[in-house]
Amino acid sequence: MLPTSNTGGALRGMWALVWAQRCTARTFIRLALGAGALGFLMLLTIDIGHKKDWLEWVVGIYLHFFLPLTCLNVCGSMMRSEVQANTLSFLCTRPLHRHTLYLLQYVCHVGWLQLVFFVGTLTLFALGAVKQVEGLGALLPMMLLTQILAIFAWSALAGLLGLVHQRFVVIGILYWLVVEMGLGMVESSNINQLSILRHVHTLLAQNNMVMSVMVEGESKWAAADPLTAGLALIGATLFFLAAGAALFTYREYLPSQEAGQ
Amino acid sequence: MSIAPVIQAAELSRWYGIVMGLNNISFDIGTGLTGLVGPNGAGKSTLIKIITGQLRPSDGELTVFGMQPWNNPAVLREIGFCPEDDALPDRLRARTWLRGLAMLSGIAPSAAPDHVDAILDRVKLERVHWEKPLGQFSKGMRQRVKLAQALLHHPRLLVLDEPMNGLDPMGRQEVQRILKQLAAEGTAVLISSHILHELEALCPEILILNWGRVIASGSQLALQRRLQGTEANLHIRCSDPARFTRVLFEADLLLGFDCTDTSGDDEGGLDLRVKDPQRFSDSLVDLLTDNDIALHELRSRDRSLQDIFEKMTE
Repeated sequence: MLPTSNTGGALRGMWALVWAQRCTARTFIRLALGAGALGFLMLLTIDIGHKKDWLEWVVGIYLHFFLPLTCLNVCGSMMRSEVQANTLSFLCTRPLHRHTLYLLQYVCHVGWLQLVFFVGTLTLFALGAVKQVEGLGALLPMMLLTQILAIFAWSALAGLLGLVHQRFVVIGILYWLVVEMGLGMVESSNINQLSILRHVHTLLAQNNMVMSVMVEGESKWAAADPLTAGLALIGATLFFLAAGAALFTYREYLPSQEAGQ
Repeated sequence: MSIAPVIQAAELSRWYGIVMGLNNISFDIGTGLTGLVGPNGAGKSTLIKIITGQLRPSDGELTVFGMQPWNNPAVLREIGFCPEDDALPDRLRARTWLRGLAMLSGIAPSAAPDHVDAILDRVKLERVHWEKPLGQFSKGMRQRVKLAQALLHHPRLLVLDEPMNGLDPMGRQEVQRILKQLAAEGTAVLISSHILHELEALCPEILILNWGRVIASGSQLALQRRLQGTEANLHIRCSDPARFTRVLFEADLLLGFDCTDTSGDDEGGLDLRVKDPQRFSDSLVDLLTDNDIALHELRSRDRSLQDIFEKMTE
């Protein structure tokens, strides 16, 4: 009789598979090249001690662009790539509920993303220190907290989009343009609350340096309640996760259907 | 007391849009080895996907061990599935992949490594390949790894879609041996294959599908009898063929015969059409001893699985 385990054992199994698929030399080379290019450009364009330049890189490029796009790519493909590679049957025939399988995939892929972006953020702050930007120590905890919540939310949304359609990257970019950069920037109504970036801004704005540069400066970020923003990000994560889990539970995924979608 | 079927389908249908995959089929599959046969597009893959919980029926019901397999871990725990497709996560090493799947199958992480090694030994994948990426595997090696992942959690039902594809003759024999062993241990094995002569040798029970319908199911013997009615075709070699045919005619057992050896040898061969196979087998020994005829060879010329398949799918 074999010793059996519960969902914790299944999580370890999924983590082993995701880790082995992600931790390849090719992945690390890509990450290193990306970080190297970003670092080089930052060093070229940031003036010594210039907070605004550094923040525009961290918020405008890293949080607005790199982070959502990477989440979209990694978590959007977590199930879709299994369907397209015709390997989903190896997972779906395991003794797990389909929603459990989906959530395990999400947790493991998000775990990987959190690690990657944790290292990425530390690199950005190290570059900021090189450029003698002040107030980095005070900003780091809020930046990490915001980033963790943002990764959860973006990844849950990406996972859902990946289940909805094989062209999830296109849908994700359209969403980003319409909701995040469009509706999210509308100031005159509460419709901007739909935007994840809006809540990311609100959390970051609790820091004095960000407040002085982005809220009181040209960017015109609105100062809002950070608790509401944090709860909104958690709520969005749970909503997108529940929708993804429900979709994966009730919808059949076959490689033969991919071409017909 | 009757034994409950492992798989039971009742008026099961499955459509893909307007295309009919399975059309109102009903059947039972029990323990032991069962062959699933049918031409391309017959509905074999659809049926296998419903059995393994990858698809849901559009209408009717299919149960495995009395339960519906879709999104049901209690049933999936009892099912091992080896797909036809050659797709594997090519970047992963065989051992890593199988250990991950073992833990996903409910095997404790502490037991998974040894268990995976034992399964890899069982499917005869050489140890030198265990730490290689799956992308470097030959087709035969990939078949063995796919079989290994299906066996990880000791399923009571093993579903294999074309498991012999890509295997060399020795590999095929080895897989056949494993499947027979599993069946002897009580595992129900359902095998879909195009290699009919191998299914014939392996599976006493057969389910034939065509155009989404079950056109025959049951034991090969029963299907043969159904096709042939009450006669049997035999080839014999005996010491006195002429006398033996006369004796059989007198006993009202022979419908016809054909001499297959015209060399003039007294001990030539005969192809016989025997009227009542059961009465023939019951009285054969008496007829031979009473007439002092020595029997050298007796074999059936009856229909092979290929013949049954061709006849049924005409």
